[in-house]
Amino acid sequence: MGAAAQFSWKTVVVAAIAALATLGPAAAQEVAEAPAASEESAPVAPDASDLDSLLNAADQDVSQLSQVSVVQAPALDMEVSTVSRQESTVGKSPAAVFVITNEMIQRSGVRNIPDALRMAPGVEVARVDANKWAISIRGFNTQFANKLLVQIDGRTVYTPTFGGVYWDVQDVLLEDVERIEVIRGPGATVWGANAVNGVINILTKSSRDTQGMFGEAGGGTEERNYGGFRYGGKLSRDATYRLWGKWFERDQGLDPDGAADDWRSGRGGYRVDWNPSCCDLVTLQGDAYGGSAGSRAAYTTLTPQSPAPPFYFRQVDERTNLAGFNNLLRWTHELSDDSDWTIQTYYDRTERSLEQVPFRENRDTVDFDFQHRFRLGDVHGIIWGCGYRNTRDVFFQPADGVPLQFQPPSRADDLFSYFIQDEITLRDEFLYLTGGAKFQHNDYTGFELQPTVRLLCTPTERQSIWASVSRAVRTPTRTDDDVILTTAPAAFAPFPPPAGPFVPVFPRIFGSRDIGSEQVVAYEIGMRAQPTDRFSWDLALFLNDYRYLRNTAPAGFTVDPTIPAYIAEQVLTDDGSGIGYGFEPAVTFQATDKWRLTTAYTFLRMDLNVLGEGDSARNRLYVQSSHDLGNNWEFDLMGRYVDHLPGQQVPSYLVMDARLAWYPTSTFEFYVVGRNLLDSAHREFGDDPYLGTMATEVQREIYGGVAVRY
Amino acid sequence: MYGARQVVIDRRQELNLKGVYLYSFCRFVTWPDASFTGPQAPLVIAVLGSKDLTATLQAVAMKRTANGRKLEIKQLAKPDDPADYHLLVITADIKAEEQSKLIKRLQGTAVLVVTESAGMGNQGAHVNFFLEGATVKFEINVPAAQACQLRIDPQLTALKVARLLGA
Repeated sequence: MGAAAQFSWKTVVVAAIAALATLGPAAAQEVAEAPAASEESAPVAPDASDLDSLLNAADQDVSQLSQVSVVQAPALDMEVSTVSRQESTVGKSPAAVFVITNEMIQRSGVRNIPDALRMAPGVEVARVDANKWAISIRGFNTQFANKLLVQIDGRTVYTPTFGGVYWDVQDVLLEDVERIEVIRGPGATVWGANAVNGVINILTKSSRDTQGMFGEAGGGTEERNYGGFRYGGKLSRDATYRLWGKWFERDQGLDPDGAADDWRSGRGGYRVDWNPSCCDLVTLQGDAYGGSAGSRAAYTTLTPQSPAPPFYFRQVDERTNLAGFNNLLRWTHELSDDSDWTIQTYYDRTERSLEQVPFRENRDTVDFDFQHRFRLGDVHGIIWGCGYRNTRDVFFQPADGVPLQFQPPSRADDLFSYFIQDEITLRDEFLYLTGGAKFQHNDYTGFELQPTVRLLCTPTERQSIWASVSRAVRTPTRTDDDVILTTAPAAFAPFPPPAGPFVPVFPRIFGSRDIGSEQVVAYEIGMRAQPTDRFSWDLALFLNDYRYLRNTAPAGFTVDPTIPAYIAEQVLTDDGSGIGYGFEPAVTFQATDKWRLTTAYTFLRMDLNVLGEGDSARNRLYVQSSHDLGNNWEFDLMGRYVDHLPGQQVPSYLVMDARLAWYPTSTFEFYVVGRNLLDSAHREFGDDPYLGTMATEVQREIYGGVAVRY
Repeated sequence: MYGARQVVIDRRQELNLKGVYLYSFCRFVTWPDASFTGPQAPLVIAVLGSKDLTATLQAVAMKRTANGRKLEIKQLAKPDDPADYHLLVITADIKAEEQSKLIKRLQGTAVLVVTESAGMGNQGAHVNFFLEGATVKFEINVPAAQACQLRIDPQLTALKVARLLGA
């Protein structure tokens, strides 16, 4: 697609936003003339989602029970806090937000966070091997996808090593997840620097809502065995806690030549929530983990490894030993109904070491965060905050080890950030304008400004329309700045020229400190409505205009006569650009009291002048049917279609998962889950050409288990 | 603009809420001492009808006691089950005639009778749940309870969701 087409797209989106802005007041008058909407507003008690919180409420004050609604929360009233860092609802969020609830996780039968994310429209999840995933939103998917901000309970988990997420160490007890909020598009005003294409925020329940025992155990053909437990209790009248643990062993994926990507991990954690007064909430939580993740890799070597091709590879069955822990403290003080402040700090330690080659990566991160929310008059809802993060890494990497090096091997970086956002009520219950900006100072590129303007119109309680324009950046990482990566020989040339024997030409990529942040200007429009309690839909359209994307440029040609070999040096540059556009409709239909259908479709097109166009599927469809069969039986069917990935040589695939569960009493749950039932195995992503990790196929699998709750 | 508002009840939440209300009734209703065999004797709740509610109550019984007494949950097989209990819940899936017959039979005994069917409050059930909009409410028949030597704490009758009968 040429520049002209880009221009027209942008024009259309901007024109639509402008039209919406001007139409707003006109529509408001129409509504004003209509009879006043009924005062009926179903009381929804947010914590009262389970028996424990109801019992706690009854113990404190029985009258609290009168606040509890037994009507299913309409889709637009679902809580979200990621969009603007405060409690709100989906219907009032001027962004493409999707909420994966605890119930959805349970009913899908998934055992890990990446598989849960497959339920959200717009999220690309492709399994590379049994412990690695390529996960992104709205394009640029790879195992090292670097344009997402991922948080677990307020702790940022993407690594500054490459700006992406080590998914093999991100885990929680899924039973205790409150919800996973997924924001497509830039969330940069109130969130950090990586929120270019989206934010994923995993929130676990307050320990107040996880009182009592939970235990689970199960196993199957691929999920070899797993187990988990939680105990929740009271420390005093105002303080509750939970302790939890889990482990699993996962079998390797399929490769005709054999695979070595089995994975096992164990993890334990705690959370304490303390209400010292009416207006204070203190949360202390943390977890520690250890594990081992395998992979089969073909490392590039500079000396021939075999007398026959391929000469310059060393195939190893690698194991990565994983360990880490983190602790987080958060204190929220409520000043009044619409004013509060929160202070939060955490410490996070991550260790990864390879067994077959001497390569080790350790990282320590300390983060402080403050935010303050208040109202200014009747019109302005203001939220501002500031944060500081220090991250320090150490790489142990002898020169003859892996073809990957970081120079310098150790580095500490500071990041300062400030944000302010104002939600202006242009017309109460009808039109809202949100403007804000994030200012950030980092050690890589200095000062960054990330502004956003969002307009939200709620013509009725059950409809909302929004539009936004934002700029967000992905600041350079250690990889952008300091990497030295030698990849497989691209060609062979005579040495000495012109008539010597042929020797390999190794491309070697060098990071650069002269490159700036990758930038997106995103134009978005969305609509959502809930015409009846049984039916709701949501649609988002977007156009992302990218500048300063990573690219490489030739930087010289050197000879290493000792090998002998040529090195074709390349340097990272920031002259890539392109656009991504698409739309994402999602529909929920409660066909009967006992049967619910949800579906999400994603259309995405990327038009880039750098690599990566073919790494994201153009069409993706997800359908889920959740059926209550009666007599405490549940049956769920999930189907997924993913279009081919030309860049990864992955053909399109259609998969189906199923879950059957039985609750003989409220204490016990028995379930059987079958995944990828339609074929014996399928590939979701290709081999990694840089580090040589070989992808494996995802196999059909069955597992079953029992859960006990009391 | 849209069709009639249809309400989809979250059955699990409704059961949980009713279970917690029943637990609260156990705390705020005083039974005559004679109805317990001793100070440690459990408070027995019997359910006639839906086993779903029995399961919820069993979960409650594992987590809570009422005024120092353990809660014991029994599922009644038929209306004339001669089991001993302090609180009887008759769920909506029992026929109305059978409900009234049972309520009449229990009149004068120290058993708190809880129903969830329209009209049962006036037939003599002490507490009768009903749904208004999204909220679970209940009728309380204090004179009928007094006639059975059951004392209902004013905290319960003062609730917004309580509607007094027979005043």
